[in-house]
Amino acid sequence: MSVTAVRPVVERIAQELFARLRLLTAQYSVYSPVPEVIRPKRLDNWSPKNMQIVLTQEAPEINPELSCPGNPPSVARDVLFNIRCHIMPSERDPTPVDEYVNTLAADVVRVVCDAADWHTFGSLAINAEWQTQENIDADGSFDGINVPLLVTYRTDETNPFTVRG
Amino acid sequence: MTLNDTLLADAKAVFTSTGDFAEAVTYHPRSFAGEVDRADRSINAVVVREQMAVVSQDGDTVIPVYQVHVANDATEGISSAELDLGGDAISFPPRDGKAAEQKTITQLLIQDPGLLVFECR
Repeated sequence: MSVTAVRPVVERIAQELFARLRLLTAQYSVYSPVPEVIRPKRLDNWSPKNMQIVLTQEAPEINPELSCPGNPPSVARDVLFNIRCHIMPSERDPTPVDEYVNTLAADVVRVVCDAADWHTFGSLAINAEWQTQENIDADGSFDGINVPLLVTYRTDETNPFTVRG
Repeated sequence: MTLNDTLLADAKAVFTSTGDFAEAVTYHPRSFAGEVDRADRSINAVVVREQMAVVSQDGDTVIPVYQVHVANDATEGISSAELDLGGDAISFPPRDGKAAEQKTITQLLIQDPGLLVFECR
């Protein structure tokens, strides 16, 4: 469904994060020539590629400690974004796969943080924290690493489209 | 002619014949740095479609997974010696009637002198 109205705060944060990651496809880093960044559809048809990035998210969780009373109250939520980096070099490439993994993960962090007050995602969030990176299990198809980012944001209790500081 | 010879010949003439169960697809070999570029070519393959799979590596994303059978041959199929599991791809319609899409060869499931069976996503 094409939505022309302003999107919910969480979606605007996701789109800002997606836009930053897409800088990697525009030769942001000479070390990581990322071919594409994907946000999966319900039934998707993308194909794994070397240095491809897939952005997914978990369900937002309410953070009661950072929620505030008011009229209306503001509700704080934590949403975990998973930035999944696929590594699939040629069989004939002698480079250790961990070298590619380490470099791409570092470039992901660098490009996301390459903005003034990066953690607010354009004043949409109140905080963002990198979480422990997790290796993607190699099953013979592709290797990679998941770089999780936990973003905390506030909205009106009655209107998730309205940002609260 | 031994049974082995017969099977190797049938891999091209029967099992991957477009007159039976196979169809024409396009093989896109990946070129590694420093190697001579390998050109795309049309080959015959048996494509088993629409086996939906949950890709747990990507947060349980659901994408179709295909099984492709080709002759182990550098001309009429893909030879096991030339195959590169780091980016080789095959183009074929994801469903009958749709346009061909390029799918990466992600795993080599079965190999013998006559036939190769891949997983493509």
